[in-house]
Amino acid sequence: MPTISRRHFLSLGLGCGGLLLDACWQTQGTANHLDRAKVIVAGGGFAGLNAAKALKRIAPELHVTLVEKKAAYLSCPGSNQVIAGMMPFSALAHDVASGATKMGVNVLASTIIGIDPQKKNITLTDGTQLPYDRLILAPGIDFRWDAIEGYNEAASKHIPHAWKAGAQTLLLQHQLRAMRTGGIVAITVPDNPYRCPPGPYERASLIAHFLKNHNPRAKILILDAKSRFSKQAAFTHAWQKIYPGMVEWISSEHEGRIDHIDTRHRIVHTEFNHHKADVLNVIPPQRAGKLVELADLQDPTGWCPVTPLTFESVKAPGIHIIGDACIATPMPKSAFAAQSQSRACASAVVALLSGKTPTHPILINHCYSFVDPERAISVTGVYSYQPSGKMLETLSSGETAPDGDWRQEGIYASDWYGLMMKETFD
Amino acid sequence: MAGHAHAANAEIETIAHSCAGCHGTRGNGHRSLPAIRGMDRNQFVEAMRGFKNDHRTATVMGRIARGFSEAELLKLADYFSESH
Ligand SMILES: Cc1cc2nc3c(=O)[nH]c(=O)nc-3n(C[C@H](O)[C@H](O)[C@H](O)COP(=O)(O)OP(=O)(O)OC[C@H]3O[C@@H](n4cnc5c(N)ncnc54)[C@H](O)[C@@H]3O)c2cc1C
Ligand code: HEC
Repeated sequence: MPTISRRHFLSLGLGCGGLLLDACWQTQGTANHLDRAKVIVAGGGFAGLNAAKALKRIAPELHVTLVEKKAAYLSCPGSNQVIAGMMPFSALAHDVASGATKMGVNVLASTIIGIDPQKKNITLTDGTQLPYDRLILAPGIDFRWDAIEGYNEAASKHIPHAWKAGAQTLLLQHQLRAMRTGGIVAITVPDNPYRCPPGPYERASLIAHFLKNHNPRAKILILDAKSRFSKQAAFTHAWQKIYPGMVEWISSEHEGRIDHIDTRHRIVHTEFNHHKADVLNVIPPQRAGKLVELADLQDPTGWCPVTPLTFESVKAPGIHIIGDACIATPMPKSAFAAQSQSRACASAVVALLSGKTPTHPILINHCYSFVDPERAISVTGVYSYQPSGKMLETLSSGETAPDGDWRQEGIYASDWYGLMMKETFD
Repeated sequence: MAGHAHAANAEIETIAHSCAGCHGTRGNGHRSLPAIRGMDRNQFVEAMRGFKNDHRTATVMGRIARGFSEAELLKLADYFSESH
């Protein structure tokens, strides 16, 4: 069967796992034709790179192309350590192409500017069109710049978000070092869902560690749009024991949400109060990376609804969305979750391309947060797919207790970090 | 290894994938994170049951083991003790 009609056949998008496909393949004499199938992965972060590598591991004969706009990936995990001076900035940078190329993934340094779900192709910046049988999108997040009055992309040039690693990370690091003695650092935290739910509180802890040594009369104020947060018991314990009097968390229940921000004077106006900061870190509300808009894959929340068995879009057959960009509630948006989803999605994509029924995966999320250079706390969830609700169900979950073994977790946390970088980029 | 796995294997593989986040893609472990590939089958089952009922000291494995049924646990034991 010539490639073109084969692709046509797949592009009907019908009968995945159905009799028709099975019958067709049996007449071909082999179990499948994965060597003619093309999968494109968009985005070379924790979700995309791990998906591309998993596809080649499961089906080495598959044609896998990964498109990433940046040559060097800058990791968000580790960036709080960089801000607090515990790790050099250079340690966040990873080469996108080398590890995946070794596994036979065709890595293209380009930006996707068009997706045609009907014709099943994508368009790159130079106009090249690439056909696919299955497309996996892993673009991460973008910010909702219109969400907070007074704070926008231009303002972020001097009031950092530092929620994507890069120049922003260094800007916040620099401002902390330059802050006046006894100054106030304010961190604003959005409502759920957002990238890395415990990340803001890890950041507050590590900034407290830095200030304790360099500016001990300084204070950290967390202005939260929520009334409770991830690992709250252990974080609160850490702040009381390790940084007494330094970290204050202000719940939206007390002061209401942010009304507007006066970026010129670094004043955050909440509904019932206002706070003047010396260093202001605004973590804005977020949504799926803009890439998903090319095929209108987001819902009104700005995130992408998927069937968490295959991570296929509920809006466009043949397109899968993994990582921060997708809605996989109750899984949080983390690198760990992104990697777990990438493997489930890769298995499902290979099954679908082979005319088989995808098997039900189990997914795990586990987020470590450091509270100082040696000690870490964590939160874990185990999830399975529920066909009835077309949702993920939590099978088990838990978090580190205030009297847990934080030092042992600190050792595991650094080794997890090393493993994650190795698996993703080597 | 996984290349041309047949259906029964595919099922346990999609479950075993979830362990890879901390034990590595092939279960080889990394530094302090223990290897679980090639573990003795009985030791594996004992460890998982111990984690499940809190009889074995653990930071995170209790939370994880409690998410798996006895049947899944036995399949995982087969998978990791036999995986080469
Ligand atoms: C301070 C901080 C600390 C964190 N710590 C942890 C932690 O300890 N553990 C943890 O598990 N998670 C952590 N996270 C969360 C983690 O960073 C994200 O969940 C993870 O990066 C999501 O992976 P992703 O692949 O979905 O998106 P990303 O990592 O953002 O990757 C998306 C990629 O897609 C590319 N892309 C986007 N659009 C296009 C396009 N049109 N064409 C081509 N390429 C495109 C981007 O350049 C990018 O490289 C942290 C986050 C922050 C902010
Ligand atoms: C979040 C990280 C993480 C995940 C995910 C994880 N483990 Fe573990 N595992 C650990 C750690 C850490 C230990 C050491 C005990 C502890 O502190 O929990 C361990 C220990 C073990 C041990 C005991 C090894 C020995 O030699 O004593 C077994 C068996 C095991 N894990 C199996 C699994 C299986 C099976 C899965 C998937 C279902 C899994 N683990 C998923 C982190 C993880």
